Amino acid sequence: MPDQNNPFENNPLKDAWELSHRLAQSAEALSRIKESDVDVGATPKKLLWQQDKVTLHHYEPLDGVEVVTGPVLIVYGLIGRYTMADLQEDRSLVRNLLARGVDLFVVDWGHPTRADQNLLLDDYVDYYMDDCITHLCDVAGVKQVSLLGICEGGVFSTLYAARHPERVKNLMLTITPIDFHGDKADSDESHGFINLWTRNLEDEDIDKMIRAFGNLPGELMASVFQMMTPVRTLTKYNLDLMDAAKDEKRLLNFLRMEKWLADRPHHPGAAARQWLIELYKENRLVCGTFEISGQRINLADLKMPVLNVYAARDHIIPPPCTRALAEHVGTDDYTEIELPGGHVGVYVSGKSQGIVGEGIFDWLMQRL
Amino acid sequence: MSDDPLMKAWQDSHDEFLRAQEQFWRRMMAESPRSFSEEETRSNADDAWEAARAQGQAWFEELATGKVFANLADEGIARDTLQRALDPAQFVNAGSGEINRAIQKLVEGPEFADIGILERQELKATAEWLALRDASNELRRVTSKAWTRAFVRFSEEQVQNPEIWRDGLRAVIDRWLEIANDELIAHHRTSEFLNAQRNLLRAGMDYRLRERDLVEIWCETHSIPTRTEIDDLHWMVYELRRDVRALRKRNAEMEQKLRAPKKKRAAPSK
Repeated sequence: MPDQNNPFENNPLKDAWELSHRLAQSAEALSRIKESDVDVGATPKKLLWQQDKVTLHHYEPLDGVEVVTGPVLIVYGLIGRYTMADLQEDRSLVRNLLARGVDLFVVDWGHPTRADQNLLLDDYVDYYMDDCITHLCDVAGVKQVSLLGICEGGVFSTLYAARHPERVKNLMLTITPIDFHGDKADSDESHGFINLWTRNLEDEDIDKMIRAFGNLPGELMASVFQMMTPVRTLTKYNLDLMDAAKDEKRLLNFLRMEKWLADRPHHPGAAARQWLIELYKENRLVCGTFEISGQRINLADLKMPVLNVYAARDHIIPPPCTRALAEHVGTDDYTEIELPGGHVGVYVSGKSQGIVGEGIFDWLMQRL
Repeated sequence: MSDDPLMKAWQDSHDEFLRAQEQFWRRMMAESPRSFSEEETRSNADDAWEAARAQGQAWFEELATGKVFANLADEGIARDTLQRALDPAQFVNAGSGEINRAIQKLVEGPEFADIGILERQELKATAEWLALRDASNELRRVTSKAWTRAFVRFSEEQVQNPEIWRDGLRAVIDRWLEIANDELIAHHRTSEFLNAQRNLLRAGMDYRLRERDLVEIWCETHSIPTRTEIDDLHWMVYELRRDVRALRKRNAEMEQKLRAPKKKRAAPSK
């Protein structure tokens, strides 16, 4: 018989007390952490070049590791930041590749402000990326680089490689959308919400949003991402946090991810208009009608070796959106690697880390 | 239990919180499991949310102004995370509220203490403001359908499987969250939800642009540059920079050509 005088006797009260106790422990653990402990993108690198808000860095080789490849440039997009590839020391694609001897560079687009609202994808591809690659080639003494594009940065890399194939030795894409209507072929209901959400907007809604804010606000994109995993949003700061707070290493990793999520730059308005209307809504890239600097992009111009890495449970870029590239490239040297997890898991999941690092390195070594 | 005053203050407030909830939990035990009608669930859910919100807010205010945050850094991700953990809006807004909240926050921006008060008051009587409020309420109404369906499904499951309560609160919460997740994801794909959300975004932008019109009138009256004028300047600078970059590139290419060793002219054939 439960003791009616003891409020903690029955299960729900006892559990509730335990939950609250664990929340208190979480608060205590959080209070011990200093901001400097939550370091993201911490792998040492040297600034090589800077223009406007864009910077090019060269990662320092790890001690005792001989560089065995040509230069590889990591290209992230404007939604989120490149630090995803170097979130924490033991789960860093950057460290993973450096440890194998890859000569690694990264371009950082910085934090665009309203002053950058008129920048087009054309500017990112034909000016900033082209200047980065020119500078990188001068420093490395080479005529070509290998590109490693991530998500929207994968689209930048694809566009660049199609526009300037003579400068791209190898094209490596990870979780990159190519067919923006590919979500229709994915039967998983939890996949492709952004595609659906964007198609439901009128062009005028997007124009008005860009007119009102100048840019596509990072906060808005963050809220759309959160809607894709509603319960994760609901439990993140209680159940998940309490689980993470059980040990300091996990808590720090939880906070690193929070820091990355909070660091969501605004997407320059004119480029966002192209991204949302011309690509997400009109799907011009696979239709062959997307233009950069007045020139149509033809995916068949991708004649260099292409590696396409996708995540089987990617709810943000459903696999059919990525895998569509196979039908359009102009090379027979096309390889796919399927990873078991989701979108971000490619960079933070322990299981994916080994596969993606080794997969990219092995593929690259066969194409030196 | 820790001797740390931080922990003690925290624990005391939790004990108080639990004592205050005792009747609620006993009622839950007495009434569970039973099935609720959709109307009853909606009403219960509203009451529960209101109660949780009030309780959470009081709790948060007490902790935020007390000693609990004293050990935390003044700013940083750890402090932000703890604040979010204590924010009842994390629960109240889940489902659709994130975007609702994001749009509201973006649209309303900072309230200036000493300028534009009259303009702001005027704004809050405009058709755009009313449309924004309506669109926000409509999105909440549409989203509540998914929550209601989840509550009904959960209560029906309890009737069929009362044993789940024996596995502890965490098992019950996990099952509830699983059901809520399924219902919300399915609901987010309906045209009713997508249209309600699009209407909110549209109303938010209309309000924002109307606000700009009013503020620009005020700026012009006081000889202050307007947003539109600054945007024009950004456009001019952008165009100029494009031209400069293109010229630099062309110059570099020409220099390269000049530096390249000239090919010897073939001797004229005799």
